[in-house]
Amino acid sequence: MFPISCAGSVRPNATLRVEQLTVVFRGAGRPVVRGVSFEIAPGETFGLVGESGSGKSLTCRAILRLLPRGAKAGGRVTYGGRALLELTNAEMQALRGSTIAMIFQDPMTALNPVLRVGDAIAQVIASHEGVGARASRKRAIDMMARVGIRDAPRRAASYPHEFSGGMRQRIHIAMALAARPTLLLADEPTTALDVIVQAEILRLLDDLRREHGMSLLLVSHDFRVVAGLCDRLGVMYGGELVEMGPARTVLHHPQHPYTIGLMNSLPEAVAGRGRLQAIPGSPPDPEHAPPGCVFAPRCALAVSACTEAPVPVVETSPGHSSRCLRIDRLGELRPALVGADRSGA
Amino acid sequence: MSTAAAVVPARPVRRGWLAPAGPSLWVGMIGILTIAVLAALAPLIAPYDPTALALGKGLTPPSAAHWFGTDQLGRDILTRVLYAARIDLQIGTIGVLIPLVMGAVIGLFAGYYAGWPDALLGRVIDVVTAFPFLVLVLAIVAMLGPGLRNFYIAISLVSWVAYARIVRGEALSVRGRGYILAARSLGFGDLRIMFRHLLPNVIVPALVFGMSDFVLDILAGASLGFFGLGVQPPTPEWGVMIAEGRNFIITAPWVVIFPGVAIIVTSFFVSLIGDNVSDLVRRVRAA
Repeated sequence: MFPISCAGSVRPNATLRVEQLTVVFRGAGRPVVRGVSFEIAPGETFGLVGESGSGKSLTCRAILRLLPRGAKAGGRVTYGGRALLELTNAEMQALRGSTIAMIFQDPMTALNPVLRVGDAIAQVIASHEGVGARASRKRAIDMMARVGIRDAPRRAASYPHEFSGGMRQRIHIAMALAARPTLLLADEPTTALDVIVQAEILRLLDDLRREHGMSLLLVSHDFRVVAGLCDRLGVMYGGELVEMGPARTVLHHPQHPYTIGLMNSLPEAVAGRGRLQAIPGSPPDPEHAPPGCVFAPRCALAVSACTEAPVPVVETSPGHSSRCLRIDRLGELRPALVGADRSGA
Repeated sequence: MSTAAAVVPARPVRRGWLAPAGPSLWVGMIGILTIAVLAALAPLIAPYDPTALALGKGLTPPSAAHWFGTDQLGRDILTRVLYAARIDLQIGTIGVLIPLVMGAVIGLFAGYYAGWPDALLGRVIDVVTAFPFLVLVLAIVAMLGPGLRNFYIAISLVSWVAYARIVRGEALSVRGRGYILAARSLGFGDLRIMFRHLLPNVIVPALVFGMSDFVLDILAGASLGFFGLGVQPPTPEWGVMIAEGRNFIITAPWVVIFPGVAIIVTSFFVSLIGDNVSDLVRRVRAA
């Protein structure tokens, strides 16, 4: 249906390594993303979960070096051995779209209203692979058909406002994948869509990842979105990665009070057995977070040691790590967690 | 699984870009086109020579021989109004196009990059707009010397600022939209994003402004002609004709009425187009 293997820019065995990534806004004292480290193996799906303002999106945008004005990334990001933060602007630009692509949350604004969708997709192909207008147009139509646009040859001449939200997100995905990237950063790709369409888009992303042999970074605030799709999960809170591990282990045996709180606040977790449990308090102002554990002010298990010094990351089982001093007491938090595995979509 | 495709109703085939516009757009376009054709064909259809003097026949009222009458030097006013259309349409067109292109490019850079280019442009805009438009044009033409070419230079130097301000404002608001970020995430270069992605989304208000600016330029040309700094007599130009005829406005009103009507009719057609274009934009934005 769609040829996967012939593009020259694809390096199938590239691993994304993010090491001690920080993002700091000019004039602000404390970075809003601090010490985030993770890896995404070739073909792997890595989920990044956290609430709004936890730094998930900034992490994504830092990888592509598309941070908002005034924000600066530190640390080290490598993909396939190339240090992304050290590349020149031109080198980075050549990588965007062709090697690493990104899809955004809101399909209503992610497409240019004055470009016909077929042209928009064809442009990506033409600019990265130097193929002619006719060839890139044909591939654009193939790509549209692949993401589930019916009657693609005719619809290629339509403008974005003539499509529904779900269809626009499909077209947005087609644009992102048009130049056959090997790593896709999906920043809340389904948040603006209704539940049925959400499930379809997620399935589509997963199918495409498999077909193209891509790695996928899936960012979401919703455990249910990442649960069924991801091989490994990272949980972000207040600009830090508080827990990371294989998706199954994190979901069934969470090792951080915040992860537990997040799961307990899912309707499925309590499933008719009383009230949802909200996490008390509100997310930290990233600039005035405490010196120790960022979650401590809202944590039922917090002791004075939690706020005094930075909390080290501990490995609780192979490949599963948590930034918490009170792991041995987590049992006190568990009761509502029983239904969590039903969340796998 | 493609239930979404089934749920979304088939939408009507895309209609032409101008289809939703009202008939007044066509009235405006046909009107302007007619004027342009008449102007182009002036040497063929005008009954007299626009500069031939007939001193004995000065200020004759409209008649079968002279439909619009004659001016104080006996020149046929219909002929002069037709010939003047050539100059005036040219003044309107050039007076809009050059500043539009200059302003759009400058405004686009300032709006896209923000930061210091934007701050610099802001200062320049402040300085230029501190002077009344006509005074500044007059001053520049007075410095360069009279004539149409210098008039164009002066207009370009002054009115690009208006276009730059409009385009910059639009660009500043649009550059933050998702599709600009998305374009960057796909590896498009700044110039490509600016001219292919940003420009089509920000240019329309400037085009709409250009429609009213067209009329303003004709009036500015007329004012300069009035001071003897613009089009030089005996070349016919609507503004100059009015200026020359103002002394006879009571005794021979046709000398000023017909070029005046020509200005009004032209402006009317141009603003019909402008109104429709801005209407269209509003509808497309709402969709």
